Amino acid sequence: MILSMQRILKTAYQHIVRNMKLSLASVLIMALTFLISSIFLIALFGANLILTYFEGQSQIIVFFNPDTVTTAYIQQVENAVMAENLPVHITEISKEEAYKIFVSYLNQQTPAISQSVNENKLPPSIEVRTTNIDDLEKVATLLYSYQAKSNSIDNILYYKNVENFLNEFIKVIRLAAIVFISFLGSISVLIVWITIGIALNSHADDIEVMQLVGGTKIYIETPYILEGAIYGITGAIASSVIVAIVYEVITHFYTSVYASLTSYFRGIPTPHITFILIFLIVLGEAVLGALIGAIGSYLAIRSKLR
Amino acid sequence: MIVFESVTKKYSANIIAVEDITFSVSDGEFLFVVGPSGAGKSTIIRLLIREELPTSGSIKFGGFDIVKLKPSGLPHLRREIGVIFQDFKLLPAKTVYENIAFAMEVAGKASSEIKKSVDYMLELVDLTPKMKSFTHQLSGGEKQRTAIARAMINDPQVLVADEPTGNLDPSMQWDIIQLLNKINNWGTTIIMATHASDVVNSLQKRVIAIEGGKLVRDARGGYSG
Repeated sequence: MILSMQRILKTAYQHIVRNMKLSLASVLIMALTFLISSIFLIALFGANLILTYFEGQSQIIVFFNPDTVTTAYIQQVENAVMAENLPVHITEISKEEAYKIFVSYLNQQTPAISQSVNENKLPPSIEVRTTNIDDLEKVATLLYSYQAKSNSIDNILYYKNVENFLNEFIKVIRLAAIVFISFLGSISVLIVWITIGIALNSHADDIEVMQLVGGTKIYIETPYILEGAIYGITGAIASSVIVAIVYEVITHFYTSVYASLTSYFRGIPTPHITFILIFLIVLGEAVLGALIGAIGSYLAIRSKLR
Repeated sequence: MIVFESVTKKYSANIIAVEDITFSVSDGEFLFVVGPSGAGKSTIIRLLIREELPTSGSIKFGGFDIVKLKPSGLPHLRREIGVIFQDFKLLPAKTVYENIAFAMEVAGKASSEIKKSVDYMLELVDLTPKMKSFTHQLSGGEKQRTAIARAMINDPQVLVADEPTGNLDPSMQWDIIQLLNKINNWGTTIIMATHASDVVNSLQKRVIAIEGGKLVRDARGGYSG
């Protein structure tokens, strides 16, 4: 078994070395596939982070009429929202709290004006947050129905279009990622198929002789499958190295660009990149590369060998 | 024992390679399959090594039912039947030694065993001085002896030769025939397809003659009876 494995590895190595240019082309195509896939995955991951952040920030603010509203009515509205059994979080802001927030804000911006603000003129409000944008829509519908029935609700702030845009944006990125990754994955399989097919043509005599002298299917096929898998693994690792280098260059040499990027997305939690995480990503890509390469090779062998 | 029973191979309704062929070959026998080009000799060889399947009939060899043999059993059959061809089918990128050793590597033999057997086989076919030569550095006779050594290295029960002297000049032809005869004398069954009448006449072995895909004669003697 070990002996056979040694010979299979030796044969696979010989195939790669003897077809160096083809091997290089295959590895580069695989690397390109993984590079583009990585860019899409990073974009998808980033977009998900942004969406999660904004979903957490999504809220409906209900401003009550300070002249007519009662504490009991505010409680009634809160109870109605809670009765929907959705994962919501309600924050009540009284007139006094609204006044404090507003004065504090004015003190920072225009302290002179803050003296003229009357506490009683500020409306009490409630802020309703959800962890899912879709749930917010249901809450908004409920609150609008309350507003229609009573003059105690002055205004409802719900930026539906922004939420919808975010949702649609993420969906498009997800779809694009799936389409591109599938497309590039298929191209990689085809390229390996063609590469191994050409290699098989140049080894047609060897294969015929192997079959005639009683070579088993495993003995004949495995070196080619291994060859494809090696192309995939090398391509995946090469792409990971390129991504790592680009990341390092941006974070260390273009610090101003990186700083402006991070300040633009200020408030959005950045993922904690650990050595184990990087290792797992590289490992995952290598396994996927091996799989794509092996499938391409297997298809080539199936179409060539009787 | 090899038994062909009512074997027919049709490529289409009009193209019949062999038709209703029945014969058997005993262990240790030397059999010539003769006939003009296109008679069906090579088809019989290809059917025996399961390069092709018959349209009807049965082919049996030892414990193998060749027609019903599963693909997984094919390597085992091929290790029991050594084959040599008119065009040698040697690998140009390998030396004489490597070409012979290759057949044992494929069979999963240990390196020490391979070295011992190949050295012995090289001596047997008188190619030890050429063991490091590549095939383009060999004469036709040397190429065919390399092919015979490769076919015999796994100690098969049967050696099948498809026109093995077709590409050789008369003196080399005779070398190869003597070598095959020697192998036969050690107990290996030889089946040789040929249309070289002088070779067949000189050995006076059993001959089956094929014409138009049909077996027309099965007797001991010369090319024409």
